[in-house]
Amino acid sequence: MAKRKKILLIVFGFCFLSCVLLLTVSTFGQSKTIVKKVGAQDTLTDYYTSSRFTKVDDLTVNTKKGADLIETIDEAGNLDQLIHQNDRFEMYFNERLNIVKLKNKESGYVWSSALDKIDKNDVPSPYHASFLSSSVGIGYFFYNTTNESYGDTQYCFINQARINKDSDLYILEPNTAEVEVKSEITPTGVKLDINAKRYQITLKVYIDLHANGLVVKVPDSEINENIHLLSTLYLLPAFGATKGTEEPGYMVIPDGSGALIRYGEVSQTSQIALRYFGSDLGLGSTIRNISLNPEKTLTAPIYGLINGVNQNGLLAILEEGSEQAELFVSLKGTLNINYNFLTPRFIVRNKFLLYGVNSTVEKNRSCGDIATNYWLLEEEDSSYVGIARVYQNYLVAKGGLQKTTDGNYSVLLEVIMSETVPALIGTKNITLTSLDALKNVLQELKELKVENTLLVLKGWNKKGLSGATPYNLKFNKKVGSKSDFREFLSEYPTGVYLYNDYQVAYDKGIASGRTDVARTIQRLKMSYSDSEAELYQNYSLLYPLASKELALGDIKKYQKLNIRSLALDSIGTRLYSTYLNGKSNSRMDNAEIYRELTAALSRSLRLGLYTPNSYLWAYLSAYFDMSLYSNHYSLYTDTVPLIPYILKGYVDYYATSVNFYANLEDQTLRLLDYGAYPSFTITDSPARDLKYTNSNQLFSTRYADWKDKIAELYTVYQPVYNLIKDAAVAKRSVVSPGVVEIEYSNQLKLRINYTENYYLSTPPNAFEVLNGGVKD
Amino acid sequence: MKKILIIVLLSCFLMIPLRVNASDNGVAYRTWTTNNQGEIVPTQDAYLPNRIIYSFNVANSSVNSLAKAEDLYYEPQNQLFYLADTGNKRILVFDKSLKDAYQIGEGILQKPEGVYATSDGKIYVADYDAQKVFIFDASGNVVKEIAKPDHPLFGTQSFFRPSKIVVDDVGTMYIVDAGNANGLVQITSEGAFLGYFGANYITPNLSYVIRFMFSTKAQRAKMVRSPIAPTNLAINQDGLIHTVTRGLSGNALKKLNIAGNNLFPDTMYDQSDFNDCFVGPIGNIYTISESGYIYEYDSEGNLLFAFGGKDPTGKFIGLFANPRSIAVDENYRIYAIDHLNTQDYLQVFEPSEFADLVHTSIYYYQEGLYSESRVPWEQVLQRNNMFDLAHNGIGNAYLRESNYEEAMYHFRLAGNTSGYSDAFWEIRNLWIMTYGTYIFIGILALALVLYIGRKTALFSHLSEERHRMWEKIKSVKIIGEVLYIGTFIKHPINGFYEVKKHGKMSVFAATILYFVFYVEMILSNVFTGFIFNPSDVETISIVKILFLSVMPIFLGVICNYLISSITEGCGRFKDVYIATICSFAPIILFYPFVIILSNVLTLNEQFIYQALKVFLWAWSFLLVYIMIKEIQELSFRENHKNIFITLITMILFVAFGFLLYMLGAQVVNFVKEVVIEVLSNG
Repeated sequence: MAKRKKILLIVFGFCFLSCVLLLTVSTFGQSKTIVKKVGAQDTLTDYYTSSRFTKVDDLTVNTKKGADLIETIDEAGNLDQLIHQNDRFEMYFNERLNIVKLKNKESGYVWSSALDKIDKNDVPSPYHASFLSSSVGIGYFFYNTTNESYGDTQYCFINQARINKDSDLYILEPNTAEVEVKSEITPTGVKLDINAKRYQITLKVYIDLHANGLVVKVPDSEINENIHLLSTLYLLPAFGATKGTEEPGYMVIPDGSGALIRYGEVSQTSQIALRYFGSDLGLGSTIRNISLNPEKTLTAPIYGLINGVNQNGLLAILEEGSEQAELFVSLKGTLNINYNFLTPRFIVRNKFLLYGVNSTVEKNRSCGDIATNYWLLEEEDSSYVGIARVYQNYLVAKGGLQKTTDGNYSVLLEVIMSETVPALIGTKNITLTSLDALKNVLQELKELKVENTLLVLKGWNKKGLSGATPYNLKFNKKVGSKSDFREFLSEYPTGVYLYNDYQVAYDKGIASGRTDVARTIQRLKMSYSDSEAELYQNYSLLYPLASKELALGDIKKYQKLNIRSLALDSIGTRLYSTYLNGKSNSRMDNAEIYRELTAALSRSLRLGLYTPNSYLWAYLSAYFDMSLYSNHYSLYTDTVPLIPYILKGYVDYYATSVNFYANLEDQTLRLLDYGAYPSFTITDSPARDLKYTNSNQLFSTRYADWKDKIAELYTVYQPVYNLIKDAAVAKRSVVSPGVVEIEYSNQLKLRINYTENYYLSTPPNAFEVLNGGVKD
Repeated sequence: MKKILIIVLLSCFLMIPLRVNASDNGVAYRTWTTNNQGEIVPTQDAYLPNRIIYSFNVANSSVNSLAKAEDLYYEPQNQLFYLADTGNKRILVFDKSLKDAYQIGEGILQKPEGVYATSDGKIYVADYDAQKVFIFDASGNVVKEIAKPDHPLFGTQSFFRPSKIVVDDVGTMYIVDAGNANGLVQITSEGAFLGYFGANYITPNLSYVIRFMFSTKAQRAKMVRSPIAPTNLAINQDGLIHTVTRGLSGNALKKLNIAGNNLFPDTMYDQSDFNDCFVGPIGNIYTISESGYIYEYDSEGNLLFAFGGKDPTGKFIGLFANPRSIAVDENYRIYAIDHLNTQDYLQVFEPSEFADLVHTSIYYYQEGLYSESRVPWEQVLQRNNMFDLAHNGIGNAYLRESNYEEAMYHFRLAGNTSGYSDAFWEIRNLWIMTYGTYIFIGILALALVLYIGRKTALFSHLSEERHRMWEKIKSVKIIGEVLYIGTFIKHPINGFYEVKKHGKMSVFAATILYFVFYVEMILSNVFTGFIFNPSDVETISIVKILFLSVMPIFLGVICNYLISSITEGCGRFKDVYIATICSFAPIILFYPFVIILSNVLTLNEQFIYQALKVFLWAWSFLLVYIMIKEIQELSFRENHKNIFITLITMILFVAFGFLLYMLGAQVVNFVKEVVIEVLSNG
């Protein structure tokens, strides 16, 4: 008995001990790792006020009303004389300082072409005061007779500022030492006959009043120079300038999709210069840092100043000379200039390094005529949405934009059909999506209720997608036979775009290396090497005239192959000046050639262009790769859909591929916000097959991986877009950080909630149609 | 070979490059990850810049902005930030709303460069100028001061310059003593010096060794190099110390075990200018470099994400001018301090959905929950087919689930030879178990049949037939000559004699054999099993193989003939040419078997594969040795001399060729410049 008891005791003791041990281990042995589940977020309340979103508007009333009118002649001799008026405006002219002022009859806001009162604490030096007080600033290259060369650009202004010992205000007076200005009141405005006599440069500036504001013109034929040459021109640099935070509002810059700079925000930089339509490669190129994204460009020749949201604003349209214009932005900030202003700077003459070595100045002017139209806005038009609307109407009236949309929602599929990989000997062509596979994809999508798709076929040609542009127009037999292609194209006559590129040429393409490859103004060949490319690293850029000839020569071939729609890359985004046999082609000349090219093509084909500049918008049937962001400059305070809203209701625009979005939820909502249609890059095979091709930065393209997302983006958004149809945007307001309400011209109201919480009745990360909308 | 992120070339570069379907997420930088070959490839943006903080609302001070801030620490238990505002001689404490702060240490601190805080609120400050470590309590009162350790082991240095500090769970302090190459200073919570920890090593390189060999004692004393002192450090939840060192490459980031040894491999993808590191919630390590890049590694040292860039003007958000420090909170938000001109600011980055997926997968994987990690890994792969780390995770998951086929597929894509080998072993095992008996019986039966056949001359007429065919084939001259290579296996010396004296092999036949050799080298690159040859077919360059296999042999033949004709040798060029390829008979005849074998062996049997390869090559080189002796008719001594001089001549040839190439490039450049000068001045 005792033995049994002993055994029992031992067993009990053992169990007890092991229990204790287990308990202690489980309590102290727990790992304290914290894991963030996908989707959960303790959002900082300031997440939606970052400059990647739009902030809530400051609707304070602007009590300052712009500049002051000098109604009686003051001691210096300044007087703003009323010289013209129309229904909306009164035009005043200060003959002594050559300053034009425009007063809005209804609101009383006064816009001034220059500042006629500057406090010395507001600018760091008299030089800056001279700049801001002159309606015209002339940059010149001074010819140095001793070393027979031109110096760097120096400026002279029509007025100058002197320090006044008795007061804080500068004494502003005409800069008679350097410039003589003769003004003449014309029936429509005022004409300034400017003679920079010290440099023997003369030009005429016409400032005319029209129904909606001012037009400033500088005809090229009336510019005369001698040995010193005209370099740059500032016209009305302080038009709409505000001081510090005296006036509420923001600047509107067409950078990427559109950016705002609200007055009064702190930033690391306070000045920036952006060239319209990107930099000119014809003047030389610089080293690219491949760890950074390519910078976005200004695709429309406009900018805006809103001095009071829904009150007073200005849309400046650079009607002529925009290809040579730079937008110069300056804000109150780190440089002790207390003013916020925005002005274009026209590069009349280029300075460059000949052969990359000798500093030279162009003999001829490359700017042509300059014309800037200052369209003044009030009330509802005085916001970025208003600017988009006004510019849209302006373009339509001038024929710069045509309605090609049918208002039907569609999803873009950029299909990569074949590519080139290195083989043991040489290279070989691999098929990523055969025509049959594509047909299956479309069939499957139809079953998933995706009714409307637009296709861009890439790599449809014999030599694969990369390394062979401009393509030799032959279908790739491994992808599909010629008859199969023709049949496929006839089944989808307008919805299938074939991809080609007439600007970037590779060795295997049809361009001639000798005659077609462009030379820059530096006389250097535009042949480059992309070190990041896997297989084809060397490429060249062609003369626009050569591109045009090649493209026009292909029109008949396209028709023979049953191709009705073309997707052209590069032509819309890159604009450069060239040199051939003693003659330079400026960017304006080349823009005109690209315009002719697209016009000719659009007569027989539907054209889709990738992120095109505005001079090609008239011929667009589809806009590809619409950016949903602007450059991430520290100066910008908001990102807004300016360019999208200019096109809304006229041209269908497709955003950049959803495949590469970092935040799918957030960015697919943004598609609806900006009115863009989604686009996907797909292949039948996994993207791994692209590893050794030039397309190896497309890291996820397999259709099977994305088909659910494609179906979701179609079925979820289709009903909303069905209500929007081809209406334009009437109003967009941010009611709370991360919550946007949009109203369309057909009264449809939409709310988009980017946040993680409910906003009224709208769930998080979702949109809601607030009213059914009434179609006009 | 590492690919450098910023490449500077002599030719022109486009500032606006070709349209790349880049991730358009509205950020200035691109994000990268590494693939299985250690190369850098683009990926979705993992972190997006969110806010920039220029100033705080400091409760007990009027100075709201930062000045030359050097260190940032985030304490996850209390969710507080501690910032060493060096220029303002204080520590700022604030929470995640990044608005209000309070300062401590005013009037006491002189140059606080490093700060750390424990969960009980104690704040440790490394003060460079005061040469002390201050310990404050949460209200800012000094609790303890640690000055230079008064210990003989500390060394005869006169200064104690604490620059950065971390503290482990028991209160032991690890201090970066600026410039002290002995490593981190380890001090107990009581203030006692424990010793040095985690010093860097000097790696001797060839030039140093050679100089050392030829230096006098006095010179050697001057040549003593000291290792680089660690720059910054961090500690993870398990108490393991991580250090970053500027100037090191391959092991700039180290994870030290308790003995102070680096747990990371020496071949990590890193930069030599890391300024700070911080350990995230799952042991993942973030570093920030002087050139503006932020790197995120998993706890094993695999690079997950790299992004950022340098922007000295402050034009872009998300880039850095002069980054000093980095910290990460429990939601994987990154906080980094940057100096821009005279203005310091704090940049905050928010993780994207993609980063969240990767972190979730890694979390499960590290916990050993391979099956649970499979689904998030597959989601990662869906978004980025090239994310090779995911293949590794999925491979392990399938291995656990005994799905060996899938495991092998994924391990192959991940470049994981040992995982692949494990899965392959299982499959091979299964195969042997299923078919092994049949094969064994089949072999026995065949052997039996052959034995009976030989004994009973059943197949005699068949073998006669075969014999006659064989003779007929051999009678064709060229084939006969090519097949003569067989004799070099059993009777090499005889063979060399026959080749030299009786021309048993023609030059044409030898050329065919060279070609066969070359083809075999190519085939070995293409068909060797994955376990022993993890590279892709597309990376094979047949030109490179030519230069590495056949060209050296040709060079050897030429040099040997030249040397021999000047010295005592008497072999004709033809003989040397033919006999050389004959001495590679073992390779030509048996290498295909090795290639086939490599496809059925696993890592457990890699000894067999390696040994076979080495054996065949050694055999061939022995034959070469014999060949030279026989063809040139030299004695042993003369043979050694001959071979040595041949080798030297080969090296000289290569060097000369290289020099010619370099000079040629210079000439071409010169001509180009002259032409440009003429044209531009004309």
